[in-house]
Amino acid sequence: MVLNPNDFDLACNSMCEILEKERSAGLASVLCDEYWLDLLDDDEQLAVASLFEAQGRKRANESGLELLVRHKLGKSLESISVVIPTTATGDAISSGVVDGDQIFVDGIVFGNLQPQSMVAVASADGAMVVYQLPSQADGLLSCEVKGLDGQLKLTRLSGNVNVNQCQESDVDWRAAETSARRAIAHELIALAEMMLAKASDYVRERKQFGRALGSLQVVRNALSDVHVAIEGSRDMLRVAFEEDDSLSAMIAKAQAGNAAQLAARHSQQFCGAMGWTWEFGLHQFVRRTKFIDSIFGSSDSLTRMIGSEIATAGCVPVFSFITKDNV
Amino acid sequence: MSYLTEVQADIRCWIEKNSDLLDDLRAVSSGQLEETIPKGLKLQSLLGEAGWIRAGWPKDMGGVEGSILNRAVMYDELARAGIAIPQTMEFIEIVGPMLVRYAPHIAQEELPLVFKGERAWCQGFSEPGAGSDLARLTTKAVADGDGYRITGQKIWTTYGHLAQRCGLLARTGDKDSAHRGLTMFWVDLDSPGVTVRTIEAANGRNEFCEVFYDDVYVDKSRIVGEVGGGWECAMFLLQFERGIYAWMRQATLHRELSHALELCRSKNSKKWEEELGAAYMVLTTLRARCWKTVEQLAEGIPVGPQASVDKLLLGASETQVMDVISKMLTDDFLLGDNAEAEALRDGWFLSRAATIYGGAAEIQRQIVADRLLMMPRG
Repeated sequence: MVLNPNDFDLACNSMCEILEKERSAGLASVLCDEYWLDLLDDDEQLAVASLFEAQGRKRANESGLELLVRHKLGKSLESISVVIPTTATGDAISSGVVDGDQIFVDGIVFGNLQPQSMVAVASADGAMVVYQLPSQADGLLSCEVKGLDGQLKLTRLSGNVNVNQCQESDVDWRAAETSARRAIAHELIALAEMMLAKASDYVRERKQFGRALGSLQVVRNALSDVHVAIEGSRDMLRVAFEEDDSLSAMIAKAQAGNAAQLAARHSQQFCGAMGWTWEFGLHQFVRRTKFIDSIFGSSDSLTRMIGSEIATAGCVPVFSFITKDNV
Repeated sequence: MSYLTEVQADIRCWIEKNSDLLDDLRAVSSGQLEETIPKGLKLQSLLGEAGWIRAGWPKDMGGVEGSILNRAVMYDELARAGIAIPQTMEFIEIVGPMLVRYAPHIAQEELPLVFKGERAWCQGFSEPGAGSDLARLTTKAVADGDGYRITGQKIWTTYGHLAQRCGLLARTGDKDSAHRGLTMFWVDLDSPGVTVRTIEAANGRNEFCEVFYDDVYVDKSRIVGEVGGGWECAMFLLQFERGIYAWMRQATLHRELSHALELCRSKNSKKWEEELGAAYMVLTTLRARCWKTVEQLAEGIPVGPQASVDKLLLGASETQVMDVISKMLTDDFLLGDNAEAEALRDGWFLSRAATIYGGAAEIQRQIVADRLLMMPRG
């Protein structure tokens, strides 16, 4: 369904206000108090679009991603941290790898680490198994990390845990992962738009050889490509909510990641030395882009996975959204 | 069940019931146009008889219940069943809405013949000196009694030698009148003074033509829209070229990709898997994008410069899909001498044209930069 622009603007603006307020209060507690979780149950597309686009615009110093994933896994999980898959495990699909009687854990947690953690592990047949384990288990190390995007409060949890300390959980990881990918796609699109806007403003003003940089064809063509990538991602993401399956969410996230990476590359080039300064602020959008593109499967690894999935299937799925009832 | 689900089920049922008839028309995309176009017209008449291609056109022009969305679903279903969409339907979809809006009297006459499979139309826009810079065209139309006399040369007219009618853009204003001095004419290609010469394309097929107009008389009743209103007609038409045409192509590209996968199942896929993933992603993105555009067209909402986004996504899809297919079936592509290999090469060469015809990709980027990003002009 195409989001009603009025509903979206209203919701997104109120999310932006919450994110301003949250800088002291903590996003999770603010959002739990607000109507967001109810909205998430009623209208996931609106809830996710408004919060995650607001996050992209404001470069929030906390992410609602863990809240979303935890809510999708089950409402009774308040005191459990979800360990988000990063490239530490390879393709950023799982946050743990089974190795004999050990589980090798490596992933990140947004905000404070809870006493219990959930780790997603890919089994040999490709299914995901989720384990719950004590965050302080022997062999596990947790530390706050700054990394590329120091604005986010991240805790990295890593180490080897014996399987008998872990309890298999029956939560539906795939569904949560699909929701997470669509949410990240919204944030990536917002980041891409912010970078494109920054670069567009700059090349309209900046003059060399007596003319604005934005009048040069090389610059215009490259920024047009960014616009096309963003618009295409938006349409793909809308369809991913309609299809509500794993494949469409993978494509939506990968396309949004491609759009944001392209926006980052071109805006860093066209904003020249000015864009390279700390003060100009472009780097913060670039940092956030690189980081969130990497979690839950980067655009590169998702592209490979999609290719391999359809090569194995021997035919390409044709999305059926056109005949879905979406009044 | 939604309305379009019912439409889809009805079309599937019809395709199944008529499989004997349709089987004979499958795989018409390979071979010379002189064979494929008449075959396509046969299918066009079957689709007309069954009513599928008549959906959404005005009733007094041979149309029936429905909208352009019914036809979009039909194109999807044809491709799904492995039946090539008749190439002639492309220009019907592109030019038809312009006739309905700007020359209903011509549409009343022409559309019933289209639905009988007795019409192929073409578009006479480009000239040797006016490609991307279309507004510079010089084919001249001079008033003479109750009509006009047209003299000039058109080029890159797709299957012009197999069409009966041409939507022709000519200059009725003075030579500096640019886009303001153009008029759209509906021309019978068997009129005295018209000479059509085929051009062999890079794939070895007669894809397009040069059309010479030597003092060709056209009655003023054959004017589409206003005298001097040719540019408006052309711009109106372009929305359909970038909307429904892109939709028809995405349906075919999905089919081609699946077909290539069927043919190469045993091959080592590791070499091209990532490229396949990327091509498929662009293709689904195009599908998502142009469905929205077709919905807009169905509601009569003007599409405007945003249609350039569809067109750029179409170009990217065509080239990426055909590139990866040429790698998946590399032996056939490079060494094959059968009809299948020939069709594969035809398709690959045709995909190179997708970023050139109907406004080159560079022109589309220019439109995006000027009208959507508001960049300063060069």
